[in-house]
Amino acid sequence: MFMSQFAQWDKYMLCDEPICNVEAGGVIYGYEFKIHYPTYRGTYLSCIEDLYFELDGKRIPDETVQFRLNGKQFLLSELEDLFQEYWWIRDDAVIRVVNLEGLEAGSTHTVHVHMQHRIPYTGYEGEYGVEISDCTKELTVR
Amino acid sequence: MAKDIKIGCTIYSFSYFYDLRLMDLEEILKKTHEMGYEGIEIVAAQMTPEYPNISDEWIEMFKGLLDKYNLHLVSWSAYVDMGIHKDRDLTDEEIIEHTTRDMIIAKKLGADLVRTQHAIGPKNFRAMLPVCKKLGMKLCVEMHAPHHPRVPVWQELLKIMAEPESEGWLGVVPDFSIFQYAPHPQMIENYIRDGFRKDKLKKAVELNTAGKSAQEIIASDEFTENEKTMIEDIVGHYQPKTTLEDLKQLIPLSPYIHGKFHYLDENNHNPSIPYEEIIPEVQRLGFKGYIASEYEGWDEACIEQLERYVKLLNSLF
Repeated sequence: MFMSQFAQWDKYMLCDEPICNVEAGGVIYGYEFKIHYPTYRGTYLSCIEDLYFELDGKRIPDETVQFRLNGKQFLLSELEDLFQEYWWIRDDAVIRVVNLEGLEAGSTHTVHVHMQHRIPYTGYEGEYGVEISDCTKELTVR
Repeated sequence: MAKDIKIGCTIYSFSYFYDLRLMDLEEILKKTHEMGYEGIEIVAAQMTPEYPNISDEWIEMFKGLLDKYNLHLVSWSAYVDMGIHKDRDLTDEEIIEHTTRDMIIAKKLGADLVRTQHAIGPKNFRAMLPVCKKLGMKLCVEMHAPHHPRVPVWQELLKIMAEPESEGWLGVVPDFSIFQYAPHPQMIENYIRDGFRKDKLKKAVELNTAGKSAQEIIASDEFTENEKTMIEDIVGHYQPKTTLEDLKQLIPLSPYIHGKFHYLDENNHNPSIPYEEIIPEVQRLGFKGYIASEYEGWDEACIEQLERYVKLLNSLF
């Protein structure tokens, strides 16, 4: 089992801002929301060992998720290699879901985020500390 | 007495306000100044937007703020992020590069020292000595729980620090977590969140404080498997292996101390770290330097807690 040293930060992981649809040339092609890194300092994206999202209890397919940070866009499967991308603690990452239809404006959804992340400076007793952070919030689509 | 011991503040204490964008860096420095602090520490990986590629522009901006609020940078708090690669630890070359980079930034900022971590390793630590001498910058390894002076890596590090050529350059930053004998309120909440029944937890914590082994605690009552694992965690982390006697070895090697705390009650008493015993001993041993107020509650109580901390230390000097 995991005993989180940083559990206090989990509740801030999903930002309270509304979900926004995104469009191209008048066509809605997806939606986005923001997440905050759940400890006291930032981290390298390579320390994220697992990250997934659920919308109304159903997993959002990983391949439809774009992780947007530092002016760049990444696939979830690319994160583990990004040891030169630093996620500063005051920068929220934008999670964009390309579902080709967005979400109905004004509707409310249960969003869940799950993150397993390595704390890179730990290892006091041989192994790195690995945190499991979960956060669920009701978010409305603007 | 002469003020050999000064009370500083690591602005990491303001994590709740900073991380959630309730206060920015300048507002925190202004508040720190208004609270009467003169020396501060900054955690680089937390409060520098460009980390780890910090520009001279940011350095000049930060220096300007330090001047504006009459604050002295005691410590640039650096990390040895050994685990940033998915499949390997940092190499010695990378550790030295990261540490040198931090020392140069600290020099530009006029800091007294760089705080690093045990993972730097004895060989790389010693290899930094010429850089320390050239830059005129101390490099100090923080000793943080669950470590203690008898951990093998620390035996080697302390030996290096005690060598004559290391004097004034390579040292230790004891963090008072090494004396913590009970889980702090946030950890109690974490254990309860993870399923430890409140009444059972209270009993387990009392037995831990009494120095009982995990096996003895587990045998004292009916616990779930989950609770047994947490009992082992409590005993592993909150039965300090550092004693006041150890300060005799540490203090002569320490230019700086982390005054860690998670909670002080209304009488400024810490229920999990024995400050009333530690501080007089630190003073008796002739410590000269800053003790940084390091509040780790990560919540909105930080300002009141820091005020209590200053009162606690002043009452013990």
